Amino acid sequence: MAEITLKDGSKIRTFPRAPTGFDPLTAAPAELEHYGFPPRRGDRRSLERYRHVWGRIKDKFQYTEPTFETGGARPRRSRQPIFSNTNWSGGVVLAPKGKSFCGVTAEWIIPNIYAPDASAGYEIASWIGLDGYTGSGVKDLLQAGIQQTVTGTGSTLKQGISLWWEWVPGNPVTITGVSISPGDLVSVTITTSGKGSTTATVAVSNLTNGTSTSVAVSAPSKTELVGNSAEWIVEMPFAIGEDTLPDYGEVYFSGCEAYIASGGEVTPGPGNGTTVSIGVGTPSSVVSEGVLISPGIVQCLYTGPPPLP
Amino acid sequence: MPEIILEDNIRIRTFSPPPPGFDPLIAPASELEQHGFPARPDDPHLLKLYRRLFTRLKGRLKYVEPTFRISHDSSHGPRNRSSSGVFTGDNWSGGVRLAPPGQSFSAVGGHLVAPNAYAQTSDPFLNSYWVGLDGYTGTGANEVLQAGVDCSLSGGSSSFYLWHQWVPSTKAEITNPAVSAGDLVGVSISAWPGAGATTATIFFTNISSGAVTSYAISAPPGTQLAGNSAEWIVEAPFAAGQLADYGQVFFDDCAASLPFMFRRPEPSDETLNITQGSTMVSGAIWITPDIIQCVYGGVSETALPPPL
Repeated sequence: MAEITLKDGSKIRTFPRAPTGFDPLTAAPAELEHYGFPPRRGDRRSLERYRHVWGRIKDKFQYTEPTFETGGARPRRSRQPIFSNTNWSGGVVLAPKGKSFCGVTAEWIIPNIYAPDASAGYEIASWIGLDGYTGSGVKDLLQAGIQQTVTGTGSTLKQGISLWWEWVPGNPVTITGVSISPGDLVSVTITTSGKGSTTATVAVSNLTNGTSTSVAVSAPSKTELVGNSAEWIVEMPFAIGEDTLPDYGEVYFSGCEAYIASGGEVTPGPGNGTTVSIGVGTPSSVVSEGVLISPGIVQCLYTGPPPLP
Repeated sequence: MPEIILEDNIRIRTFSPPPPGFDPLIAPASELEQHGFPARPDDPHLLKLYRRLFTRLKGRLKYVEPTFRISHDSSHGPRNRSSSGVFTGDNWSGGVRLAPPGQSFSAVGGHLVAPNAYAQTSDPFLNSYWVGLDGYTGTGANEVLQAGVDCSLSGGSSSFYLWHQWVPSTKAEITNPAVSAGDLVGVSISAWPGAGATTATIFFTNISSGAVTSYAISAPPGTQLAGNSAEWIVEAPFAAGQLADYGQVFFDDCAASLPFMFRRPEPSDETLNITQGSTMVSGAIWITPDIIQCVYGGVSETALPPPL
């Protein structure tokens, strides 16, 4: 297990590679933790999800030692509210009264994106996270997912894709070494010990090609998890107030669960959770909409572009 | 209207490209027909989907005159129904909607994000994602009108392309416009007036890239549409063991139209799974009346409705 100090001083740990034949479906809890796998939770629903994800990947699982880059991955939104109606679309659930979330999970297909014109850069981030939405949890946000950029059209088309996490107000960190392409189905699980946590494990598996990695991350100084919200989001990461969101098609987050620290989970779905949408312009016009489709499935749908001024 | 004659006497008629600024939301019906665009539906639900599609394409819709190649490497077959409800076979997984007795479907449509896939061995793999009519039961059992996206894997590389086939005629692959992994693709097939139709119009939209194309095809000689089933399918055209892990596919905005009427989805809609021996290769579930999810290896039990 290696401890790495990033340029900005934040500390992360990587995990040892699991031995050949390691089976997360039968391994002891201590072994799972040792190798950076998400814990196997006891209730039926969590267990079934665990079996579904690991069962489908077991024959092609390939652990990749992660490497990291800081800076540049994601423009900062300092002093902006973390959540606003101009940058998030997707689904949000709140922790039951008196309880906190300790984890969040989902898998989704990474969309392919094109720039509608060559005049600007376009960008989306698809991610899952805890906090950042409401109440005492609005000041921190622990999130992990995929950020994509696109510029140019035709022969000048240039697409960027990066796997990243960020514990706001800390800096975004890009994880390199995991092979992810548009059209791949990627599973992300964030695990903490719940309210008050200052460390978290981010586990990522590309379910299509089997590449997987884990990293233990630390909260920024004076920050700890509140765990009062969990969310599944397509975000327009920069240029708040402008339309820099390309037609990303649609993203279905499936297998969505928010784990409660004291046991059990909250599953987003119709009648269970809130949707958020991205609006652009004045008056605001919706360019990306969140829909709670069915238990465990959150759809983000591009609906723009906004009307011309 | 130009006619392209391909091998095996496959005849395709192409449409004149629409002029710059063509707006399907307000164009008269005759112009939509002239350029091979689907008619604006009367049904409010379908009209909403139509508006949403062409609104998001505003300013970046690029009509592409299609080009083709004939494929003798792969073909698609019917999947004859063996029982109602859920059943399994070796080539289709997805959802099927049956026309009410005495009526027939004249159009079918849906959207899907083309998933990426990697071959696990050096064997050729072929994954097909399509929408279609017939091929399932009764009078339509031996004929299938279908159009969609293929992902072909061989020797470590993959290629994606659009295609159509009116079985038992030969399959035609589209060489332009292009499609890539992760693109959201809309497929629409109209075969007026349903049962008895011998021509059909195919309309493809690459919603992500903005490319649109359309063309008209003819039924195989001596064949006409039955229109008794509509389906949204992940297919293993070679063999169940040569379907590569595609992750998952959501077919959405799934619609099948009867002439002069849109048929609301019903609980009788059926699902199909692909199995190889006792192994589930690809499973499917209707998660709403117009969304079907197909999952490589089978749908998670957590997605299934709770037992009654």
